[in-house]
Amino acid sequence: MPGTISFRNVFISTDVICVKFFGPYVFAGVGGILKIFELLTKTCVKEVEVFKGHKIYGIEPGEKNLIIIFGSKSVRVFKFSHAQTEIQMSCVASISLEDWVLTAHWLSDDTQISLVTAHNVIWLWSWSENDKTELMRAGCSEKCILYSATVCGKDWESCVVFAGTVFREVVIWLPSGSGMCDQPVLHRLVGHNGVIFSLTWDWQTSSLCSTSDDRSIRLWEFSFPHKSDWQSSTVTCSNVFYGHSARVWRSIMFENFIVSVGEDNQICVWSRNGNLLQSINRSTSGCQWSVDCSAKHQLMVTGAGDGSIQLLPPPSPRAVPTAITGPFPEDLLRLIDSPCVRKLAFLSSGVIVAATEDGTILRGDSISTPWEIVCKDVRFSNYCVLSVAPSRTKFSIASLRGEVILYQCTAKDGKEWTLEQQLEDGKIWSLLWLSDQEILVCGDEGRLRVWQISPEQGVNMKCIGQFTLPRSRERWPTCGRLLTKNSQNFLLCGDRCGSLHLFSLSGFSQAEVQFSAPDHSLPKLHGKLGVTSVMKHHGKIFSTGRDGSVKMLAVNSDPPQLLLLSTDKMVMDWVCSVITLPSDNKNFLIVGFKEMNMIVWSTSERRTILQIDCGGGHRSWDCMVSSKENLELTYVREKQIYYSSRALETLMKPTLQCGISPRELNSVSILPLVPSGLLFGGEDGTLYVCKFSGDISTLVSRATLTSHISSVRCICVQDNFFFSAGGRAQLKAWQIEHGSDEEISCVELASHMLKGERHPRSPPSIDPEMRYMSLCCIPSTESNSVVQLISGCSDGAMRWLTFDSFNKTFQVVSESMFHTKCVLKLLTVPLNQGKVALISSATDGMIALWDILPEMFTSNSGREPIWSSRCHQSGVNSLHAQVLPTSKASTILVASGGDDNSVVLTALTLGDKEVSMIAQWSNSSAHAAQVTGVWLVGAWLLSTSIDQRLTVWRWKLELEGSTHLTCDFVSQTICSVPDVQDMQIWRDKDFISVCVVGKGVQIVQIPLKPEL
Amino acid sequence: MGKTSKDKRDVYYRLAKEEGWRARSAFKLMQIDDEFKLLEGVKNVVDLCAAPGSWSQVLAKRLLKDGSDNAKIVAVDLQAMAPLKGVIQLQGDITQVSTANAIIDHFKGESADLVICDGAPDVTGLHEMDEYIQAQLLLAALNITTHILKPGGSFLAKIFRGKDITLLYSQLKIFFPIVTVTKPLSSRNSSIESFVVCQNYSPPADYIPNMSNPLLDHKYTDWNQLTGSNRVIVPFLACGDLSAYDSDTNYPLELEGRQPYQYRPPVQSPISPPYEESVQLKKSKGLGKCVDPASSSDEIIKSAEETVNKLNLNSE
Ligand SMILES: C[S@@+](CC[C@H](N)C(=O)[O-])C[C@H]1O[C@@H](n2cnc3c(N)ncnc32)[C@H](O)[C@@H]1O
Repeated sequence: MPGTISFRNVFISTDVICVKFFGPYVFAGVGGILKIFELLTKTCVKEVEVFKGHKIYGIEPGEKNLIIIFGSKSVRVFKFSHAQTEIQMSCVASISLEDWVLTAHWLSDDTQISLVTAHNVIWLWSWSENDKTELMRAGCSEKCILYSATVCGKDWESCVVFAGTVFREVVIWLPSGSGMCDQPVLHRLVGHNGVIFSLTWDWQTSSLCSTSDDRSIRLWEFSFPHKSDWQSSTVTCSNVFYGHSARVWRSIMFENFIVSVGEDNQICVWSRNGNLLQSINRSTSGCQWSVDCSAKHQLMVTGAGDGSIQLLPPPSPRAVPTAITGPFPEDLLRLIDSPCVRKLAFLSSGVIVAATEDGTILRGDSISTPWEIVCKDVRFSNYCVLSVAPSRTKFSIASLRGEVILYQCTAKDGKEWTLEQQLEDGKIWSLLWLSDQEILVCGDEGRLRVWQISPEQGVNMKCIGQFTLPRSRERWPTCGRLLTKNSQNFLLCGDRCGSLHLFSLSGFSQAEVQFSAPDHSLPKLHGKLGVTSVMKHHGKIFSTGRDGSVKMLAVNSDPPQLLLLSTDKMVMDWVCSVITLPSDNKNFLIVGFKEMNMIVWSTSERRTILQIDCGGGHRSWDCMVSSKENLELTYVREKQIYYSSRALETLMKPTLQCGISPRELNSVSILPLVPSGLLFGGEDGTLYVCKFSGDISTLVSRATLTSHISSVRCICVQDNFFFSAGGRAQLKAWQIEHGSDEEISCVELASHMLKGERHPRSPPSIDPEMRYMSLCCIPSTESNSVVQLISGCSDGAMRWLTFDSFNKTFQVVSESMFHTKCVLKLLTVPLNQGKVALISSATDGMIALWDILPEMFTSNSGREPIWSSRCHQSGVNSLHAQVLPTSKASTILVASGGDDNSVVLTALTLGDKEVSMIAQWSNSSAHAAQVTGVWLVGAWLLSTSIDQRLTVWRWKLELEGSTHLTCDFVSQTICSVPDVQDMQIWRDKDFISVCVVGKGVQIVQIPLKPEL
Repeated sequence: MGKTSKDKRDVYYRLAKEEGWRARSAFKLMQIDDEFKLLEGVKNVVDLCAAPGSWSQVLAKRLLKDGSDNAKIVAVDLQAMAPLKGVIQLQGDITQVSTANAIIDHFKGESADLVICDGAPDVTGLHEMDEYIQAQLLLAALNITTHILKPGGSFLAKIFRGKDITLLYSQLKIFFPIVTVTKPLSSRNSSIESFVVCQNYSPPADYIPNMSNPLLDHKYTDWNQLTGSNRVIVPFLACGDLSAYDSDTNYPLELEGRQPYQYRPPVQSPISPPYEESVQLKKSKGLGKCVDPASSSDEIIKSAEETVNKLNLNSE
C-alpha cells in the first residue's frame, strides 16, 4: 500500500539563506526548517518545519510577536509565544502566490502585508486568522525578471517598490498610482554592471543600498523637496564600495555602518563614506548568504553555505594599537646609548621586557608603571638573545660569548633573583625555553644542550642532554618542546630550514661527550623558510611554519618516530605561534602574518579575530592571553613600541551551529570501526570525518583533512584504512586511529599521482587532468598488509592497484580500457567462498560484471568482464547490489540509477561457465532528473536523485516457474539537500538511516515495517 | 596551470576551437538536430539567448546552404554579439515586452518554424532559485514562441532538471503534445542542464497569446504531485552518436583520426564580465577605498521620461 511509510527527518545541514535577531533569540532558516536559538544558552531551543519541499528565504518580524516567513511562492504568518520554557510558533495565516516572492513587508495595520514577486508585481495581502484573506495586485510598466526587491512605506497608498532587474538597473515605482493599469517607473538607477542581488532601504538616512554581481555595493541617497513626496524626489549615487572579490549577496545598514556579505566568504564593514573598516573572512564556511545586526545585544549574526550560523562582534571602527610614545622617560634615556629596541616580550599582562641595541634590558608597563633598567651590560650590546619562559615568570638573555643570565621576576615568595652561567664558549645562536625548568641552548655547528634549572636560588643549571642538528645553512633551532611518550622523554625541535627533529632524552650521563644526532627527522616539513613553533595541547602536538601551515603530529616511542597527522593551510603567509585559551581546552588561537598584517585566528570560529597593520613579520613582537582573558599584543615598528589589549569576548563570539562543507559533497561512506562514524569527500578537496549522534540529532566533526589538491570524488573504506581520490589523478591512503574518549585521529599514509607512470598496456599518455571517479577495495578475509583496490577513471580506464600499508606505497598493477568512456561507478560484491565480483558502469550506459581473481593484482593478465550490457541510455551514476539466497548458482540483483531518469533492476545468475541475465525491470520515469543514489535493503529499493526525491520501492523476484521481476512504488519524500550526489544507508535496530549528500547533508530515518 | 589544461579537460571546448565555433554549445545543437531533425525544412527560426552565437553559427551553416538567403535567422541576447553573416541580431531581455515586440515585428505576417533558446541566467548557487529563474527564462521564451510559432512547429530550450522540473513539463504539455527531454553527449553527465524538445505546436483552442503578462509555471496538483507516484515526467532520450566524444571523458591531446594537436586561442574572446571594474581596482590596489561614483564607468541617473531604447538593431 503506497504512502504507509513514514520518513523522519533527523538531521539537516544546508545553506542558511536567512538569519534574524528576534528578542533574545536568533531565527534561522535551514532548508524549510526554522531554527530558533536562544542567545543566553547559545543552543537551539525550537525547530519548526515551515515549508516542505522548499527553503525559507526571508523572516520578517512585526508587531505583537507576529513573524512573516516566506520562501519560493509561499508566505506564512506565525505567532510567537512562550509559556515558561516552552516556545510556541503557531501558524496563523498562509498564502501561496503564483510567482516567486522576493520580499515581504509589514504595513502599519498589522493585518496587511505587502509582497513583491519576481515579475515586478506588488501584492497587498490582507490576512486574518480565520482564513478570510484578500489579495490586491499592482503591476509596473517595466515587466522583467527581478532578482531582488524591497518595499518601504507605512501603508499601501504611500508604499514604494524598489526592484532590481536582470538588466542591471534598480527601478522605483509607486503601486497606488492612478487607475488599474501598470504603473510607470519613477526612477531608474543605473550604474551597476551586473544583476542586482539585494536592495535595502533605510528611512533614517533616506537611502537605498544595492549589492550586485559586479562585486560592488552602491549607496543611493534620496532628497525630498516636499516631505515624503516621491514624485518630486531626486536621487544620487553617493558611494560605490569595492572590496569583495566575488558577488555581493546582501547588505544591511546599521548605525553608521554598512555591512555586506558575499560569495567571497567575507563580511565587510564599511563606513558610509566608502571606507572598508573591517573584513571578516570566513574562508572555510563558504558563501555568506545572510547577515543581521542587533544593537541591543551588540552582536552580528551570519548564515553561510556550509550550514553554519555564527555570531560575530558588532560592526565597529578599525582597531588601532596604541603607540607607547617615547617609551623611555628622559632620565632613563640619558643612561642608554642606543635606545633602539631590538627585542621585546611580555612578562605579564601589560608588562614588557625590552632589549635595546646597546644591550640595555628594560622593563616597563605599557600604561602606568614607569620603565626601569633591569641591567645594562656591554657583553650584551650588539648581540642579545632575549627569551621568556612559558609561564612568563622568568626570562633569559644570552650573549655572543656564551654567557647566559636568567631572571626570575616573580617567584612564589615574591623574591626576584638572577643567575649567570657560562653555557657555551662561543656565540649562542639560540636559546629556547622548553618548559619553566628547562632551556635549550644552541652553540656553534648545531651543538644543542638541554639545561635543567634548579628550583633553588643560586644553583647552577645542569646539562641533561646533548645533541647535534643536521648540517644545514642556518644550523640552529627555532622552537622546541619536551614530550613524554610511554614514559620515555623526548626533545622535539624545529629548525630554520623547515625540518622537525626528534631526540631521545633518556640515558644521559654527565660524562657524555657524544652529541647525538636526531632519532628521527621530518626534513623540510614546513618548506624551506623555517618552523616557527611546536607545542603540545591536550595530547596533540602541533607545529607551525613560515609555509603558512599548522601541522598536527604524533610521536611513537619504539622506535622513536615522528608522524605527520594532518596539515591545515592557514590564511596567513607565516604562521608563528599557537596560543592556548584559559577557558577552552578544545580550541586555541593561531598568530601569524600576512603581508603587512599581524593576524590572530581562532580555531573555534575558523576565522581571523584580529588583524593589525604592524608592517609585516620581520620584527620583534609578542602576543599573550592574560588571566583576565584579554588578548594582548606588542611589537616594534619604526623604533616605536606598540601595544594593544582587547577583551577576548569582544573579539570572539560563539558559534550557534557548526557547518560541514562550503561546497558540494560528492561521496559519503560509513566508517565501520568508528561507532556512528561517517566519512564525506567534497568538491572542496576536503575529507570530513564526522560522528552522528542520533539522540541529539547532530553531526559532530572529528577531523577535517585538507591535503587533496583537487576535488575528492570517491572514497572507500577497508578496516582501519580508507582511501580517497579525485581530480588531478590524485589518490591517498589514510589510517584511522580511534583512541580513548571519542578521539579520532587520521594519518595520511601515502599520496599518489598517476602522472608520469606508464605501463606497457596503458593508453598512449596518461593525462594529469584525469579524474578518479570511483574507487573500491577488494574485501579480504585474511588480514593482509596489502590492500587491493580498483579505480574507475575519467579517461575510460579501470585501474587495478595495490597499497602496501607497510611500505606506504601505491602501485598500479594493470588496467582495462574495456569501457573506453568515463567510468562512473564501481561496486564490489562479496560472493560465497571468498569470491568477489565487481560491477562497473560508465557514461555510455554500460554496466559490466567482473570476476575478481587474486592474480589480477600480481600479473598483468587479460581483463575482460564476464558480462556486460547497456542498461541505460546515458551515464550510470549509481549502483548497488544484493546477493540472493538461491539454491543453485549465485544470483545477484543489481540496482542502477541513471542520468536518463531511470532506475533499473537486473537479476544475474552466475553459472560455472557463464553469466546469464534472468530478469530485468526498469522504470524510465522513476525520477524527474538524474538518479544519483540507489540502495537495496531487504525487499526495499531506495532511490534518490537531483530532483530531491527519496523514493522507496518494493521489489519481488519470482524464480519458480517463469522468472519474473517486479518492483512497485511504495512511498516518496522530498529532501532539503540540493544537487544530491550520493546516498548511504545503514540499518539500526528497528529503522534504517538514509544519509544523502549534495549541497549539504540530510539524514532521514525510516522505521522498519515487519514486512521488511 | 598550462594553457592546454582546459583542452585536456574538455574535448568539446577544444574541438569547438578547432572547428571555429564560438562556443562548445554548437555541438549540443548539432547532436540534438541529428537526433530530432529539428532543422529539416525550416525557413524561419528564432535563436533566443544567442550570445556569443555558436547556435546561430550552426543555424547559418545548416540552413543557409550555398550562401543563399533561403532562411531567416533572428538572434536575440542581453549581451552584444559579434556580427554573423545571414543572422539578424537584436539586443534585449527576452522577459521584456519590448524585446518580444521587436522580434514579432521582424516576422510581420510570417511565422517561425522553430524557436530555440539556450538561455541561462546568472546562477546564484542557490539551486532552487536558479532553477526557478531558468524556468522563467524558458517560459518567457515560450511566451514569445506562442506569438510567432506556426502550428505544428517546434520549440527547443535549455532546462535545469531540478526539484520542480515537473511543473515546467506540465506547462509545456499544454502547448505541445510531444515533449521529450534530451541530453546531448556534449553536455556533461554531472550537469543539471538538459534540453526539452517540444514538437507539433498545438495551443489550446481558446488560447490568446498575451505578451503583457508573463506565463507562470504551474502549481503542484493531484495529477502532478509534489511527492508521490503521480508526477508529470516526460520521456528522456539521450542524443549524440555513440561514437561521438563523451564530454566527461578525458581524451589524450593527440586524438585518433585527427590532425596533430596544436594549441589554439578561443574563437571569441569573452564578453566583458560584470566584475571587470572590481578586478581593475584590485590590480591598482584600490579595493576597500572610497570610490567617487562620478568617476566610475557610465554613471547616469535617468528619470522616468528618458527611458532608454535598449534594442539596438544591428542586422547584417
Ligand atoms: C549559454 S549562453 C548561450 C550560448 C549560445 N547558444 C551559443 O551557442 O553561443 C546563455 C545566454 O543567455 C543570455 N541571457 C540570459 N538571460 C537573458 C534574458 N533575460 N534575455 C536575453 N538573453 C538572456 C545570456 O546573456 C547568455 O549569453
